[in-house]
Amino acid sequence: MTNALLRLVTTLITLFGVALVVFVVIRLAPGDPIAMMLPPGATEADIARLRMNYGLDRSIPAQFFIWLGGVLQGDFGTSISLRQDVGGIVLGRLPATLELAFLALFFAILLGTLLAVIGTLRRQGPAEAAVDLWNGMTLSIPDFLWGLMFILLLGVLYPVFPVSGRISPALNPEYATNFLLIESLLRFDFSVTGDLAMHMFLPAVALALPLSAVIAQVLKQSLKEVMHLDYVMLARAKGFSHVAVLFREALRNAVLPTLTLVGVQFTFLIGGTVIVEKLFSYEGLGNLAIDAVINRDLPLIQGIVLLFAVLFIATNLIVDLAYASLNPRLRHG
Amino acid sequence: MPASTRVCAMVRLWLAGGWLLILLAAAVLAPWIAPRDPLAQDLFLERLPPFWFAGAEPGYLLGTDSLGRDVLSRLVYGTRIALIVAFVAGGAAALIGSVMGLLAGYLGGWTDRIIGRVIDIWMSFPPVLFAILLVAVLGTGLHSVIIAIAVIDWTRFARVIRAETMVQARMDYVASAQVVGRSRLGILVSEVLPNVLPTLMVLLSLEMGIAVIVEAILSFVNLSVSSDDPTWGGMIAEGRTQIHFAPWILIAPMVALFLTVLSFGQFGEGLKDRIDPVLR
Amino acid sequence: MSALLQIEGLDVRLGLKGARLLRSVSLTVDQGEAHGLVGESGAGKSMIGKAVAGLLPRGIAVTRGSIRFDGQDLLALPGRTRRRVVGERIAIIPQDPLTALNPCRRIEGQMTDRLIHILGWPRPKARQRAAELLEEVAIREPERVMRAYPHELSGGMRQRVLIAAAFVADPALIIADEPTTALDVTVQRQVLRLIRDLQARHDTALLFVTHDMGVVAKLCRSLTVLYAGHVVDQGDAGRIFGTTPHAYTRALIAATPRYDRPEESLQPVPPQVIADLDRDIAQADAQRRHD
Repeated sequence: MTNALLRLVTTLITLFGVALVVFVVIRLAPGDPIAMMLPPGATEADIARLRMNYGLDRSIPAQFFIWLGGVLQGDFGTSISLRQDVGGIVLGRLPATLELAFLALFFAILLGTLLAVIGTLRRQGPAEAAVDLWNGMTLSIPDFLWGLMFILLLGVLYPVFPVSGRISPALNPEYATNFLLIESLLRFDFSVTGDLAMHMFLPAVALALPLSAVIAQVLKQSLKEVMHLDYVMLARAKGFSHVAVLFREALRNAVLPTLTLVGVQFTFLIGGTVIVEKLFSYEGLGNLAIDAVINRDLPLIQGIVLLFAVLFIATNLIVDLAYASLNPRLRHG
Repeated sequence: MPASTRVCAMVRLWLAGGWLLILLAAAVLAPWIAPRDPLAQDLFLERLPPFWFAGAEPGYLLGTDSLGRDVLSRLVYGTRIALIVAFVAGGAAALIGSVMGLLAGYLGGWTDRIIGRVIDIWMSFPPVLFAILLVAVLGTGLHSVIIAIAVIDWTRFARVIRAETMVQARMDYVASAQVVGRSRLGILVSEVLPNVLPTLMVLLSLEMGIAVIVEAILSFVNLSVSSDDPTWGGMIAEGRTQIHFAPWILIAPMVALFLTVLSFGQFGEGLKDRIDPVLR
Repeated sequence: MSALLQIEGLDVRLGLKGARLLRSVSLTVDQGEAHGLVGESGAGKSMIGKAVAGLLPRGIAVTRGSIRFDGQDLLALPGRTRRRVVGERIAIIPQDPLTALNPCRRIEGQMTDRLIHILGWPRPKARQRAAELLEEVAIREPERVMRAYPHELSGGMRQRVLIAAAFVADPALIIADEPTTALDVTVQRQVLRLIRDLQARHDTALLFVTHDMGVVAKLCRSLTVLYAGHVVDQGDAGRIFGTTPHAYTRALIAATPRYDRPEESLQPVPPQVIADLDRDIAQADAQRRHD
């Protein structure tokens, strides 16, 4: 109980720190965001009025606490460049990023597990060497480069996939939420699902590859350790094949050490969406963030960065919970 | 380690090191190697394909970009910025990170708690977004890029060095140095630092690759050096806009970036196998 | 009574040209018979059990000989068929109860998966069978134990669970690989008694691997003594404990701790016995190479 409380407090401190750092950093920026919004003929009085509207005439600490007070009531301020409520804009873009990140996570787990299993079943052979080589390569090449290569190879030279946007402009589904992929599945609207999937495939794989290498490496290592244990041997004596033993007995135990690592790595993946979305002109949070920075849209930047921080912290929390529920020793402890 | 794996690791180390040496040579000797002025535009010779495509001009080995600038020359000059960023930004991140990590791991207590909290806060930012934000605030230019990378990526060093230092600080030789009456700083520098140095070198090699990529990303979103100066990221950004008319513009900087990042990564891995006494 | 397990001329090597771990080992276990496999650590006694169950570690292989189980040569069978024969009719009681149960799975699954997935029993029937066996090994609340995870049970409980799991599919042969080594002395005796009772009641053949002559004396009707991968003595337990001419076997018997007379000092195997044995083995090997 005290543990959970301590955790809550440190989480809050971290969030507060994130908010403070962003707030201070972006107020050091030269250039006046207000001046950029107004037409060239605006008078000093116009600028001053607008500045007051956005609260930019106060001292920086005062601005911070006003903003923080708003955030605690769910009010993230108004975007300067889009002139809309920041909370609304950000939450509207969040589903696109979440769908992309989770699709990438799914690919990474699938590919990583497959590689680890192949490397374990065919150990000490050429197959394991190939898996190791591939892991070494995918591990050091970041998502940005993978994305570029995919665009060039599979988007342009052999145009299999679309390389920009989230959905074809011709399709314009009128959905209740912005979770287009999930909603199209629920509505059995498979032409939309297919189009979304084609658009998401390359960015998702680009995001997934580095993570899949991490999963493959760690999972393979722990599978190797587990496969030597007596209960695995005993299961083989019960008449189960190598493959069956691996899936029935070993995988579950080997997953535990992998899981905590995947948590941290998944936050890196979410961070990677920023540039990958830009690369593929995917209408998500990351793309919006870059535009916000370039437009000096202070309230919008703050809102987005805070949301990313919340996502990161939530990921770590979920992983801890999953770890506890998968590990029987903790569940009954 | 079986002999075949060891040979493999050696080959890897030499291949990666070899490519990095080529880069270094290209950066130093750029004015003599580059066939043309990397900034010279020739609008009559725009978007020439590289030599293996039909329609290539002799003398423009890798073709030209949309303003008719020689891609090979820009690539060669681009190694300068890539390597400056790799060494300076990587080195600065390593310096800040290892000082923080050593202090946190060795002193413990409140120092450790505060540094740990700062690392947590730093890790809650998407690094690319953080970098873009910092450069936007600092103003574009090589200085800002280097400062942004160092300010963001020191946590990669601090986290690992802190953990290693904690392990080292519990060792008997540290205790015996304390008994002899050496100062805490002296022990940190003479007893602990040499033992975390191998890890530091490996991390540094990896960080250099990351720095090159971050510079490319910042150039890509037009926040690095001025868009005329030859950088790989700038070339990639240019190639991305031209991708449907002249996809080859993207190839050269992409391959260069790929090999460089791979080499830094593999060099670090190979180094780890060589200097880790436990693995050797 | 007919032979259930017949091993003949078995050679096991580390790699194709590497060290020989077993040399020309032959032994026979009849149906329902308990056979002891005795030797010091490193003699290769566990290798025999592993070779029978098809569980030799990677890189270690049978290079010669045959293992006939119920008339079929296991080594000649294709992998799938062999796994099936082993799965249906041979079971193992492992050495260390702490590592022999999967920490992530409940006891029930680990006891019944052979019945359900290999023998195709319906789940309720398999559950009931598992509960019966747990009662047989004197576990008072089988339902509760079946729902438990391994870490919730004591070491002695886990070993009893493993014994029950070995007997659950009514195998013809059980290979017990030093099942009591990891347990403390009082638990050891309970466990031995359990194995003996179950073996007699179910009429199961037992290949009991141990370094402890005293255990063999209590449990087995016949035995094989191994030294450095060679069979040095073999036969009826009564004869061997009474009148064996082999100095090494006699030395092993003398080296057995007696719980009833702890004040008696232990006799280590005399160096002269070992030297003679090494010489005999070297001669026999030279002879075989010559043939």
